[in-house]
Amino acid sequence: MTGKRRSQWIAGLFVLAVLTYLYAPIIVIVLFSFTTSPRLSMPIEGLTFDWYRSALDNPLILSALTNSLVLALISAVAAGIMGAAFSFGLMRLKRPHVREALIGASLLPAIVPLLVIGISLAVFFRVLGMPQGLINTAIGHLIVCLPFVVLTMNARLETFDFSMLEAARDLGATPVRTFLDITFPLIRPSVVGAALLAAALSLDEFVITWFNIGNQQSVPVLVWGMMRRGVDPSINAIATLLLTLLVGLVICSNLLGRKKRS
Amino acid sequence: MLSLFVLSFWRAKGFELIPDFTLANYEKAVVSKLYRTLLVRTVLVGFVTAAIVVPIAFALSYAMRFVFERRGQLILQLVLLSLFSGYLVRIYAWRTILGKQGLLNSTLQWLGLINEPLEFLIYSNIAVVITLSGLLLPLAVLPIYSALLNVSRDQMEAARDLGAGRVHLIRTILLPLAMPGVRTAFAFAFLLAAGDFVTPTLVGGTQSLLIGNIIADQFRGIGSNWPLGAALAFVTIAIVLVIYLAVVQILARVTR
Amino acid sequence: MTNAAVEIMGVRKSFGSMTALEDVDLTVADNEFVSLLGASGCGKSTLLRIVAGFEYPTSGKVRVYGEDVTTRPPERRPTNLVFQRGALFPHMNVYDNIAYSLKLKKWSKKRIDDKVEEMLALVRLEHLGGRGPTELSGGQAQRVALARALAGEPKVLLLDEPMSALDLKLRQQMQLELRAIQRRLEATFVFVTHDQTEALVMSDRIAIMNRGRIVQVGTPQDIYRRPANVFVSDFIGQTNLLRGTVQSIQGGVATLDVVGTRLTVATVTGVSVGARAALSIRPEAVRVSRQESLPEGRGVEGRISEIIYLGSSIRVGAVLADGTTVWADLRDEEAEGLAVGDLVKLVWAPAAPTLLLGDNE
Repeated sequence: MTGKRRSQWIAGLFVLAVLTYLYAPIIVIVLFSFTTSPRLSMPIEGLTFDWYRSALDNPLILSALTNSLVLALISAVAAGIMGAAFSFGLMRLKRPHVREALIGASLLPAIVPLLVIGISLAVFFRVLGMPQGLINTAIGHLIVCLPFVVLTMNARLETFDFSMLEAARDLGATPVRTFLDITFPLIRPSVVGAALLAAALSLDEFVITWFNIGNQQSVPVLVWGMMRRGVDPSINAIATLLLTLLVGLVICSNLLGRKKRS
Repeated sequence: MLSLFVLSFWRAKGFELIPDFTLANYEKAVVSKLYRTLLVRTVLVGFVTAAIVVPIAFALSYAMRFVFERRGQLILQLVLLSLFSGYLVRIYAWRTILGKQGLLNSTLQWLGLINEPLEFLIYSNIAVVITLSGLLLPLAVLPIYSALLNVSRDQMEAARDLGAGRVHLIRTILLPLAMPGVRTAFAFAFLLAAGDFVTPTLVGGTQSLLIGNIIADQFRGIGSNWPLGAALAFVTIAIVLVIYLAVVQILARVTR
Repeated sequence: MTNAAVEIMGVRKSFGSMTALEDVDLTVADNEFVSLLGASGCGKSTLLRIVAGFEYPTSGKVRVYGEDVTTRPPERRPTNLVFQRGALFPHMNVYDNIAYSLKLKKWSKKRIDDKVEEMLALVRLEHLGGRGPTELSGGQAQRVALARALAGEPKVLLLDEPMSALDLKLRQQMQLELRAIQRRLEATFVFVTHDQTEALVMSDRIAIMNRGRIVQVGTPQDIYRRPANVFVSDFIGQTNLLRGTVQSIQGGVATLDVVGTRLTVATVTGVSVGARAALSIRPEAVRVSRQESLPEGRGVEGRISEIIYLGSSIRVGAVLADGTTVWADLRDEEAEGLAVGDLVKLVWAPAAPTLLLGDNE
C-alpha cells in the first residue's frame, strides 16, 4: 500500500515537472505581456496594458489578421468536409489492411518536416506558374490540417454504429433521407470539432505560410518579422491574443467531440 | 515533393530557374565544408533531442496509463493542448527564458546563486535542444500513449503474478508491446527536429545554425538559389532517413 | 402455396471467392415463427440480410407474400428487421425512434401517437416514451427496437440475434414474451440465433444451417427426436453417437456392429449393408443396469468412468471397449450404488435410438 502511495507521489512530481516544462514558455509570455519593464527579467516591476495598445497600433496587424482569419476559415471548411468524407469512406471499407494503409498514407504529412512540405509546395506552384499568395498558402494549410482532422474524425467515428444506417433504410428511409435524418445529425459535432481544430492549426501555421505567401502578411509571419528584429514586448501581447484564440478553439473542439459520446 | 526532386537538378541564374540535368547542386551540397558541418550538427541535434524526448515521453505515458489510469486522460489533454499554444510563441518564449538577461539568468542572479549570467544558455546547441524537446514532446507522447493503451492491466498483472519484477516487466513486456509507438515517437522527434529552422534562428544564433536554416535561406532570402536548396534538402532527407532506419534496427534488436 | 409468407428459392451468395450460401430453399408460412439456427459463420445472418434487402443474392429469388422482392432496396420491402444491438437512433428519444417509419409514411399526428402508444404497451414500456436510448437498459433498448420494427406493421418481422447481448435470465423472459407477442399479433417472424435452446423454446419450425446450407427443417420435436444427420444430432442437445457398420437390413430394422456388439435400430432410406453409420441415443434415454445378460440389440457394456451431479439428475459416463464414452442421465435413485470402476450394462428402449448416416466422423 505504502509502496503504491510512494510511486504515485514520484509519478505525480514527474508529471508536474513535465507540464511545467511544457507550459513555462506560455506562462512567461502571458505574464510579460502585462509587465511595464520592456526588459524581460525578474523581479517584475509593474503592470500595464500598453503593449496591447502598441500591438494593435501596428499598421500591418489588420491585414495580417484578416489574411489569417481567411486562411483559417478556408482550412476549417475544406478540411472539415474533406476529412469527414475521407474518414467516413474509410470506416465503410471492409478490408482492414486497405483501411490501415489509407490511414497511414493520410497521416504521412504529419511526419514530414514542415520545411520540406513548404519548399516542395513553393516549387510545385512555381512550376505550375501560380504566383505566391493566399491561395497557395491555403492549399498548404489544408495539407497540414488533414492528418489531424482525419485522426480525430477516425477516433470519433470508431464508436459510430453503421447498423443505424441500415435500420433507417429498413424502416423506409431512402439513402438521402437516411443521410439527412441520421448520418448528418450524428456526425455534425465531430465535423465541427475537427473544423475548429483545423482553424487552430491554420492560425498557428508559420513555416508553410512563410514559403508560399509571398509578400503578404499573416499573423505568424508578422510576429516572425518582429521576433527577428529583436525584443519587442508587443510581441508578447499579440502572442497572448493568438494563444487565447487557439486554446479557445481547441477546447471548443474537444467539448464538441465529448458531447457526442455521452 | 516530386517537383522539388526534379528542381534539385536544375540551375539557378539570378531569379530565373533553368531546366537542366546537373549534379552540380549535389556536388556543392556534399563537398562544401560549411554544409557538411551543418549536416553533422543537424543530425546530432536531432538525435540528442530524440534521445531526450522519447524516454521522457515513455515515462510520462507510463505514468498516465498505469499510475493515474483514468486521470491520465486529463493529463494527456493538457499535454496535447500545449501543442496548440503557438509554435512561434513557444520558441520565442524560450529565448525570453534562456536569454542573457532573460528570466532564468535574472532570477538566479536575483537569488544570488550566480554573479555573471550563464552565457551558454542562449544562442547555443543546448538552447536549441531544450526548445525543440519542449516543442516535440507532446507529439512523441501521443503514439507511445496509444501503444500503451493496447497493453492491458491483466497482461501486466499476469507478468507480475508469474514473478516479473518492475524493471523486468518494463523490459520484457511493456517495451516490446509499445515498440511501434516508440518507433513512431522517435521518428516524430528525430525527423521534425532535424527539419526545423525556426528554433535555431531564434535561440541558436549564428553559433548553432542548422542545415534547415541554409535550406530556408535558399528559398527565401537574399541570393536565394532554389535548386541548391532542393539538393540540400534531399541530401539531408536521405541522411536522416538512413540514420533513422539504423536506429530502428538497433532498437528492435535491443528489445528482442 | 397461397399462404406462404416468405419464399426463398435457390438462393446463392458469394463474397468474392468465398461462398456464404449455396442453393438455399426455404418457405415460411403465414403466422409462422421460424428460426434459422447455426453456428457463427454458417450463413444464417447473410440469409436474413438477403430477405431484408441489405444483400442481394448472387442467384436465386426471394418472394414475400407472392411478390418478388429480390432486387428491391430495403426501404421498399414489407419487412422490418430487429438488429443485434438494437441500432436505436441515439439523437432521438424512444417515441421518435418508434415513430420514425410512421413519419416517413406520412401518417397523421394522431394516428402516430396512437400507434406508438400501442407499441409501447405491447412491449410494456408505457412510461418511457420520452427517454433517450442511452438511458435505457439493454433489455429495454431491445424492446424499443422491437417496437420500432413492429410499428410500421411489416408483413414479416426479421430478428437478427436480438437477445445475444442480454444475460441468461433476461433472455429467457424475453423469449417467452417474444413468443407471446408473435401469437397475439398473428405475425410472421423469422428469427436468427446460434442458441439452440432459444430456437427450441420459441419456434414453430427450425431451419438448421451449416456451411451455407440448410441441413434440416422441422418442428422442434422432429429435430430433437429425429435428427437428419450426425451434424444436427450433435448440434441440438447432447447425444451419444455409437459408430459402426451396417450388418443387415430386415423388416425395417437395421443391425449394426458397434465394438463387437450387435445393435438394432429402425432403418432409414439410403442405408445399405456394409455402410458406415451411427446410432444416436439421447443420454436421458439410456439406463444403467447391473444384470448379467444384455438385452438383445439394445445395450452395450462399459465401465463407469465418471459420475457427475447435475442437480435435477445424475450424469453417468461409461467407457466402452473402444474408448468411446456413453453418457446416461439418471434420477437419484437409479444412480444409487453405482461407483466409478463398476462394470455395467447400458441399455435403452427399442424405439430410443435413431440411425444416422455417418457423413462426417
